[in-house]
Amino acid sequence: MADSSKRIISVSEHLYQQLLRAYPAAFRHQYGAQMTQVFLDCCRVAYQQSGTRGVLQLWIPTLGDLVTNAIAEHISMLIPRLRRHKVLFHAPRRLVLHRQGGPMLHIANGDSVGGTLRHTGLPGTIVTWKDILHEGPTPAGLSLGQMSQLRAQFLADCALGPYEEVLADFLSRDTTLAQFAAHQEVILWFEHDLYDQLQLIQLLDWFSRQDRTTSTISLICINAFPGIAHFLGLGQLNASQLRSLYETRRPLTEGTFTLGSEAWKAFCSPDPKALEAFLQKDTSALPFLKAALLRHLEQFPALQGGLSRTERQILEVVASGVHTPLEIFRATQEQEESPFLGDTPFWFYLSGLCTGRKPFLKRTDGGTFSLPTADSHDPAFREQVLALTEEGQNALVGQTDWIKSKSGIDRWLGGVHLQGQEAAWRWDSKLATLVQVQGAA
Amino acid sequence: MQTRQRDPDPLLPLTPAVFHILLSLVDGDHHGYGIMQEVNGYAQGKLRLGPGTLYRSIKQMLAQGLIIEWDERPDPALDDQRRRYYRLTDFGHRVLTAETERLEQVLQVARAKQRGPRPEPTTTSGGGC
Repeated sequence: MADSSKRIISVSEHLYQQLLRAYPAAFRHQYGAQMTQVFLDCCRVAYQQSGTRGVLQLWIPTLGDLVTNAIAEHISMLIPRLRRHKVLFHAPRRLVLHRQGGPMLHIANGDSVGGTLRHTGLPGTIVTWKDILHEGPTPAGLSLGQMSQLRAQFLADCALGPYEEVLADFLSRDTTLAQFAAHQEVILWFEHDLYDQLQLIQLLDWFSRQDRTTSTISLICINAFPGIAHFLGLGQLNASQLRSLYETRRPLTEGTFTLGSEAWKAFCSPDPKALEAFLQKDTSALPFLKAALLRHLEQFPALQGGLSRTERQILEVVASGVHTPLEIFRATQEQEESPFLGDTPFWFYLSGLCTGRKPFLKRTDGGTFSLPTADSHDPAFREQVLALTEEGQNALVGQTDWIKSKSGIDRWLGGVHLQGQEAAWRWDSKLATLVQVQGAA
Repeated sequence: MQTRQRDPDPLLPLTPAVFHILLSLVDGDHHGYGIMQEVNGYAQGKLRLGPGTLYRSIKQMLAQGLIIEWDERPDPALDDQRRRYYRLTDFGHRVLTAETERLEQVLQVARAKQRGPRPEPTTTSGGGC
């Protein structure tokens, strides 16, 4: 390429990059590089066709495009904020709070907490992180967008929602997250259990790769609350209680982002020993992480019997005289140090134990176990009475292996895909370690 | 469990930019400049997509689940790794079909009106202007 063309294109690129500052920062961060790339492509074609005059002519529509869309983007970002804060015109106290706190992005662990946050009086955008990352695939090396597509497919395959709706929900979530730089502060609201800790490390990994110079990222993460004897999660708190936690938030340090990112990479690794190796580190910056990840490892098939801890707990509570789905769910939750499993994924564990060539559970009336059609209050679902089969009874005394009874396994645990006649990894609960199974695929 | 499908109607009518971006992705994945070229090709200069309009539309379409970002490249060896590719979702396909049907109906009405008898000119007595 001739020097003159290089010069006009280089000057145009520089000028275009400067003019991109007219867009809101979040939009510029997300699309600025791509827009510059497209503009450069257009410049090169214009130069090939008409030389310097072509490039100069290209600037006329480009400037129009830039001005129009920069204004439109500012307005589109302003409208939701105005809607959210229209109450400010009638609530001077909130206006003061807004000025003090600046625009915030709250990332909460589910709709329940997200809903309560709306009543706390705290200003800002609320986004909920609702993925059950302890179930299904989270393979290594995926971008957030790719992970969202994969997770949406998994959740849809589990009939947890139509694919398009789940994906749209994730993409909307991801888009809000990508605009975090538009907020002065991002506050992560999480609790101590496995469900939350996995979401937290996924977020910390993502934030570790972002330019965080314009925003403070803060964390609220608790495992207890004054006055609540049996604290399960943030969802138990009312707006006033949740609001009181706001003052306890602490800005995250570079070391915490690194730790979270390492944890997420270990969780997504195809080699589960990576997770065990991670647990040897000092994880005190995220004080609930170690227990949560250890609980995840207990979901691997046990060395004796091949059951995950959840499956084993189900058999134990049924053997103790608990027989209907909701009662079994409640009783197994009581066996957890930090309950993490929601009822919907729990029904799949229950259903899994009722199916196969040699199921471990059966309906006492001889019928087939059915999942709830709409909700767990469906009488046809909740009145099912379950009992152990002979195989199930044998499993509890270590005489039957669940994987052998099912003729194999096909299950993802984080980045580990257990697949084949035998699980490649099993959990030795006595030694609290994973054991590689010889001869597994 | 029976799956529910999202209704495309709330998103209609589409803006010309969104409609043409969807159309450009029917035959395969494209990056931003590829979309621009495709649209310029068949719109014959009648619609000009600048980078701002293009990426504001892409942002909106991603949020609505009409398209997704796609990392697989048609020919990785020949391509710039920094480019992001976009792919039409099933919902995007359905929205495009719904918009096309809507436009067809509008077109039918427009053609029928043009073919029909012209209204009688109003006769006025007296002199002209």
